[in-house]
Amino acid sequence: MSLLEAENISIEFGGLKAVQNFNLKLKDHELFSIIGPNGAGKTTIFNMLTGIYTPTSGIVKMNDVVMNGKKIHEFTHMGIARTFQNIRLFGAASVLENLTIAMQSDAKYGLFDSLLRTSKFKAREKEIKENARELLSFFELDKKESFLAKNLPYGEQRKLEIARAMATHPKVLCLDEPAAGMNPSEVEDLIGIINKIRSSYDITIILIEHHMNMVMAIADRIKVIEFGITIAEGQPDEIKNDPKVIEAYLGKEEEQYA
Amino acid sequence: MNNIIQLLIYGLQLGSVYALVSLGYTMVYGIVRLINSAHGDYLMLGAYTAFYVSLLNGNNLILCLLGAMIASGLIAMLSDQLAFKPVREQPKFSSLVTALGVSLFIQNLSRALPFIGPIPKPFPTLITKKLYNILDITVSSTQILMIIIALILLFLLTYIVNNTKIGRAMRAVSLDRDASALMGVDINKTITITFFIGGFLAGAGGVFYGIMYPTIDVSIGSLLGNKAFIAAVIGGIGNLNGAMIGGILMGVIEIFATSINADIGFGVFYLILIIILIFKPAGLFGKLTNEKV
Amino acid sequence: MMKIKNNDTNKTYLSYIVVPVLFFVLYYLIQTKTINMYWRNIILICGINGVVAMSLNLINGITGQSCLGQAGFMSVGAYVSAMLTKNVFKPYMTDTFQTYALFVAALIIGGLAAGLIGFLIGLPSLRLRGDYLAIITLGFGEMIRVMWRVVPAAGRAKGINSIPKVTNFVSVYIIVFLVMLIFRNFTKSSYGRSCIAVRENELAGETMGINTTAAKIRAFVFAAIVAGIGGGLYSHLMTFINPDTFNSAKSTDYVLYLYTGGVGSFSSALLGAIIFTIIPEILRFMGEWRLVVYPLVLILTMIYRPKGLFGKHEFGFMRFGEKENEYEKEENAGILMLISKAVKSLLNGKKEKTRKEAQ
Repeated sequence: MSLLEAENISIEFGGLKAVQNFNLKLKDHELFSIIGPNGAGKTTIFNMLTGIYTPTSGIVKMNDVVMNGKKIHEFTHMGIARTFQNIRLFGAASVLENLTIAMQSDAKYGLFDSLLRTSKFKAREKEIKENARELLSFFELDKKESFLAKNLPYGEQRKLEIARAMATHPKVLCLDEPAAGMNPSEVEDLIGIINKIRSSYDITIILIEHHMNMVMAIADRIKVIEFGITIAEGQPDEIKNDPKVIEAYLGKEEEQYA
Repeated sequence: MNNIIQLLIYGLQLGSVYALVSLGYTMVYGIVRLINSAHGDYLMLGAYTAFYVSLLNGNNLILCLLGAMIASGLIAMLSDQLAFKPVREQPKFSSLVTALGVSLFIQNLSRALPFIGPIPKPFPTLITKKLYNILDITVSSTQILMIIIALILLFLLTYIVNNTKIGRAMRAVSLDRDASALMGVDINKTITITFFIGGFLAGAGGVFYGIMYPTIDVSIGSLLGNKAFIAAVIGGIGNLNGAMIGGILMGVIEIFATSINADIGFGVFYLILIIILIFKPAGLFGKLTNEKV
Repeated sequence: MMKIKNNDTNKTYLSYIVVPVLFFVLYYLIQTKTINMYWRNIILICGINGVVAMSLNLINGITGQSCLGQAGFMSVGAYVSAMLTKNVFKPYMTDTFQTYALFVAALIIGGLAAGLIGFLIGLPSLRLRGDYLAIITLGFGEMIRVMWRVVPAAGRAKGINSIPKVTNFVSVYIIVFLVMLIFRNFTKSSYGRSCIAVRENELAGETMGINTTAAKIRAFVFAAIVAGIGGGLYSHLMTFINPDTFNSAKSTDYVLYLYTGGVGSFSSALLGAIIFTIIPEILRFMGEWRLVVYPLVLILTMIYRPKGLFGKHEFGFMRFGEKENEYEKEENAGILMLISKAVKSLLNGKKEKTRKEAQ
């Protein structure tokens, strides 16, 4: 049994094959990275793994349950959470609210509990708030809980997105270019946070990233995609020396010297 | 059979009016993404202008038409400058709310102004009505003239949009405002002219309304405007051909529906609107843009 | 670094006193006929408009959808409850208790009928957004009006008259209060938070495990129920209704109340409805011109104060007595804040003056 599994998934947009025969079998607690040039189809893969797109062929499985055709929020309830390449926070809500919104599944009370504010409701809400604050201090955002999300600096918005994804209690966390637009010290900070998440939570991470150094430093396994096709898979060291990968990133050697 | 052709001609007559008015809705929407609910009120002011022009110069169709069109065009421009331009950068729904406010403002102001007032006015006879009998079908000179003028205006508009510099600018702005600004298109000028042309056509619609129905009052704009707007949405708002076809289609449908039952005439409009929006959300000829993840 | 106030302290309980005091003052003035029948009716209409405007805020302000058909929901509540009281309940409305019990029952049934229509109108919101949703809700509202025109039981174009006049100050005041309370509790629960998620970023909300489909439908149904109750109050105040009472112009009115008041806040919606119901009455001496003032105010508000006259603040008990933090204050700023700032700076100026004089 595998946590998240993709069997030969492909997707087409009006005849254009964006991703072909992508396979994935996540191991528990690993950090799996998907890399590839721009437009290779990495985010499209994420969109299929998180339910935003349904693959044209092939199946996505979570805990051996076929997920094809399920709603996005059902993917989340199965334990998949994600962040977005272009940040999608709840801008006009406060930092704390961004997390409490994501803690939807913890609110195990009915409509009438909330309209009448029963003691059950109050207890749950208190718990949710406490958990959210705890998570905020884990991400060192606790001092900013009443800021509006859209007013945070860029790096902290990225951090808040990860925190928000963690608020859904995921088993698999999908990070879509979390270091995009960050400066080297912010990237260092981010690596620290990812390591901290891995050591504190029972979690598996899939990472899409452009920062090669970062991927090589933290990934356990890497898959390289080009034009929607998997061209290499393996440990960071193997990938580094794979001629196909070098070709995809740097172009053919003959061409360079020609 | 003759009866059906007779109704069809009525439908075309009404439809050509709807087409003129819905073109204005569609052009403005295409360029600033605003549902301008005040558009019908330009039409009403145009009809009143024609009323006063006819008092000054006798019942001259061309003069009345020109006066109405220019007046409506100018008012459209003015409302854009004063009300819509300042809210252009705000969230979308606030420009819609502003448009609702402008519509109410124009109507209530007209009601308060002494020379328009709340009491309906009789519209002058601008076309002397002659009846022609062709193969047992009666066609009036009014119908022929109206359809011809509407066709001329529609062709003129198509020519402007497709073959002139300002038309090119209009198409560019509706595709991508920022990119066309970078390419040196004067955005504000283009928007202003679009409003003027929209109002210009609405003015003609106002005169036609007066010709078809003997009295005009302050609320004719919202009545006709609503129908023309639905026609524009059905055709695919933002799409010129869609607005023309939608307008004519709705004119014909309305005439047939009211010949069956007068009460459901207007209901049919909304019924068709709802059905089309549910099954083809962007209208018959429109395109829906998808959000990229 | 600005100091962040802790939300749990500094509670303001002022409105817990204001609400009952206002009730008794108005009640006393109405009982002693200090407020005449004419103004009493206007106060009641203020409350009813407030209820409907608040229901619109749930859809447009909290859930971020665009609805232009609120009068349609209202008409369903108005017609259904009126048909019930007039045709079914009237013989049993003998003493005060029975009358009001049956009235409340009629209001609730009318509200539920409106909720059913709200469900139908909410369905397109699953596929359509923004302008298109606004158009289709407008279309649905008008369809409902056409429906009343052709249904024989609803009196066709003539409508229904001699409806029992049972709406009174107490019932309106209590319902306004309850509606505020319920909307407040809803918004501050996980249900309300999922509505906010839909408004802020639907896709992100969905990936955070929120069933946005359910959230939108819930908002439409809930708002329609409340608007329907408002409609029931309206028909039992006016005693006659016809299809044209609930035309698209009426829907537009509610949009205007909400957006001039301050979209996103229930208390601003209520205040907007109250102010813009009263202003045309105060300006009666201006004749037709009074109706020019109010759209003008709306246009100017949209241009100069797009957050609405009262901003996005919730006032009084709508905030659970919690104070807003600095950041929210800035974000929500309305005209009241402007005034208070002006007054503060004026007072400070005076203080400085006196200080200088003292020196």
